Amino acid sequence: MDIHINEASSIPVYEQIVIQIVAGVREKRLAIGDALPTIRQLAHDLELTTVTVSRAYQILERGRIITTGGRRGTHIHEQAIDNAGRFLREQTETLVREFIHTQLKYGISIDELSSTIAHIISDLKGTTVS
Amino acid sequence: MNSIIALSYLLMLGVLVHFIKTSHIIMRKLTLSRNTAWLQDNPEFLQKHHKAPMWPLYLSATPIFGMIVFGAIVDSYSVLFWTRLAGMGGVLGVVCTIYGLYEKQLLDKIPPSTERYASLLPKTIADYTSKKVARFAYGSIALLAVAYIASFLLKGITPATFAGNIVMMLLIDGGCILSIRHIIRERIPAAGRMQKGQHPDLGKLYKITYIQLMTLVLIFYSVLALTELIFECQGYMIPSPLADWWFTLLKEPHPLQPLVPQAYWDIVVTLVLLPLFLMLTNSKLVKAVKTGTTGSVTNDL
Repeated sequence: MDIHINEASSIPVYEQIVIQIVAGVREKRLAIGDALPTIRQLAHDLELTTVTVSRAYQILERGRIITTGGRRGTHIHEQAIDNAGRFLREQTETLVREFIHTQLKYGISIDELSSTIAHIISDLKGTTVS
Repeated sequence: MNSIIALSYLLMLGVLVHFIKTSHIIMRKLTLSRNTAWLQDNPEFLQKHHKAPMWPLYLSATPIFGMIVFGAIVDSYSVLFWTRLAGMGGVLGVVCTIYGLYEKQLLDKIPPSTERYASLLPKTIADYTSKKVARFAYGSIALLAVAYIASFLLKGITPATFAGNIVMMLLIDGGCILSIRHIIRERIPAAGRMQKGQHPDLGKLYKITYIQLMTLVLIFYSVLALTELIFECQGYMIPSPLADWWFTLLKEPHPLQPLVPQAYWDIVVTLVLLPLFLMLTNSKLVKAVKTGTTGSVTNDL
């Protein structure tokens, strides 16, 4: 499986790495126990700093999507498929909470927000979002 | 006799020059594949660097060619031998290093593309050649090492011969293994860029061809060294000025009788190596380099 990053995107690069690895697990392009490149190797291949890749790997390790075993290297966690669903829900919840809090600070009411989000979801239904 | 040796050395020089030339063209394509969008915005850079300069290679190869011809004219095996060692091994090695450093400098001048790819699953040698061939190659190295140690412990060969054999094995096998590891691990992004964007066949072929070639060299060297060891255990060896120098360095009298004159051996090795190099020069990779592929900003290389 290839990983693709776009530095021009509004999504931070470490998050792009996280999203693609989680998607790879959910779509079964990455199997349980598959070895992943080291932080240094992936940073070199993607021409990034090790800090960026390390941040992505730390998030994935906390979400039990990957497991790092010192000299044995980094592998896909044995419960990664189950954990991926929960991980995405948690990530979504965190992002939505942050978004709602920001909007409330701007003075938008819960009803307005709810109506806007419902409208957007209604528009998106039946379309494939890439 | 020296004319035939000179002819075999000229043949060797020709294939080496061809090999370095092809490698440099591929390296330049890899360099320019770093950021095609930037190259489109900087046509003057592409215009200046779209062709890999071959003059340093030809400039270095011409005196070597001249020395081989000179060695044949004056009928001196010593001139031919040292021209091959210092010229083909030394001068062309320096040219390759300079080419490598120059490409690195050029690469640093091109900013990385905003969109980049990498393989997430680590590759192994088995991804580019059959597992059986890879196991056979590494097995042959292990067999050679065991054979060297056993023949030394059983006093089949002297300490100086043993040390010489080990040094040669470390240099040749070590060099091949390091280059295989380098191509597998370090060049994935570059070859991947070529596959994604500009040269879909070339990116894949480049890795496959280089790794298969290095694996073949490993097997070839093991077979050759094992054959040589059998003769060494029986008190024979292929004489050469290099072996004489080695025994003098270790202050050990030359214990082995010449099996065949070094000159005959050189011709045999050249003739055996020739199919290997011809296979490479006629490979799909070299054809892809010559013809190029479609839809690329660097396609006109």
